[in-house]
Amino acid sequence: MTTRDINWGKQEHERGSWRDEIQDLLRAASGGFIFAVPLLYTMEMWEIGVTATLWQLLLFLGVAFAMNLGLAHSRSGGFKEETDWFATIEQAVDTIAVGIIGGGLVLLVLNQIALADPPESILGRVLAQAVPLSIGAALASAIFGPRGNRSRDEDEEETESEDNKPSAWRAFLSDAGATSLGAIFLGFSIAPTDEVSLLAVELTPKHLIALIGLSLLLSYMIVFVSGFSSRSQKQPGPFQLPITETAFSYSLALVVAFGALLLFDRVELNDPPGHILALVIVLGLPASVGGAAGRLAV
Amino acid sequence: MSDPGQQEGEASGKKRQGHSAAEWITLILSSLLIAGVTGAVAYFTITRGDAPPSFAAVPRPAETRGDPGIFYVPVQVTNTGDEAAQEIQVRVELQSGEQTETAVFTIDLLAASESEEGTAVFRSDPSQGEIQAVVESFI
Repeated sequence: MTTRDINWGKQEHERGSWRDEIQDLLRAASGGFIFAVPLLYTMEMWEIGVTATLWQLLLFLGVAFAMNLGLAHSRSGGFKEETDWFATIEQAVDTIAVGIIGGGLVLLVLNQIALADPPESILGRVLAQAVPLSIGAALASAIFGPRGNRSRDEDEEETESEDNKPSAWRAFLSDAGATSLGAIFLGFSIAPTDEVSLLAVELTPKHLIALIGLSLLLSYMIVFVSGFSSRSQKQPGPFQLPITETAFSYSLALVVAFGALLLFDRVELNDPPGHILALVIVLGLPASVGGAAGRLAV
Repeated sequence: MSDPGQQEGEASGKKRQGHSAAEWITLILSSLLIAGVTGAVAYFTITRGDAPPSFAAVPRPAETRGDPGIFYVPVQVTNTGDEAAQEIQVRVELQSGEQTETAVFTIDLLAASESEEGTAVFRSDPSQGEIQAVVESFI
């Protein structure tokens, strides 16, 4: 939390390397998830994948592709710095691919598709979720402003030049506050819906563990890999190490999720503990994504 | 994931010339994925008929489990049509002697050729009678 460097300038080095490319794709996925989480938790979105015809869904995705072309070509959209024709097409194509893969992954973890399902309904459900995810991916830079500072060297320089380093406690409190606010923002908008109870009942322990893993992964990716923020590992305090911060923020997100469920009367203290835990873990994903987005905004 | 900053050295100082292998490969893989999905949609759209939903409801009394006086009979419901159906109401009847016992359940959504299991709960022993399952209505 020492530096929140906003570097609009282009960096010529290491453009196009595998590392850079993967980071670009993860940035796209991060944007996609932040944008699409409420829709990933919407029953109608799961159903429309089955009730709508496939070509309708493909057409929908085609419209998203056209939008993403436009976004990628504009300076403020996309998830990369370049706006030449190659980068424009590559970004638009990549956002759709990120949407398809991300949608498939989430639906699998949420037990909304299974490998034994008819392939047609798997395809439909994935296509339906790919649309918002890919639009989110194409908006990645537009939502989060500067195309993040990819260079970690930059951070170190900043840290050195800064005389008044905030204390570990201040950094910690500021992170915790931002995480809670973000978690409340997304968590509270999803807590009152039926989807949470529905998923909690349907998910097996295997799915719940996968859901915990996905929540942690998304939180880590959004904050530390996406390049939206310029966090480095050189931050003060015991809670500022990426792994520790991610784990701590997830715990905080779970607490917020539990609070939201209590507040909206979706859970009662005398419910079976296993069910309460499942509800909290289900709502933990949006809360954790919200928390990660919150920490970017600080 | 390791700190990416450590790998900085190898790539630094390299000016971009055209597009890198990484960019091309990502583009090609993404394009292949989209082409695959589009192909699959085309395939399913062409091969699939337009038969409205119809159902096969098959009780499986052999898999009955139960507590004393209560019997749970699984019923497999399959949408054999080419279109999805919602709110499928299934009625299961157990005829034992003069007596007929009825159980009803609803399935929210069944995609084309999807199959789901419901459970009929009876008071009398299904092995002593005959079970029939029918789909009564759907949207």
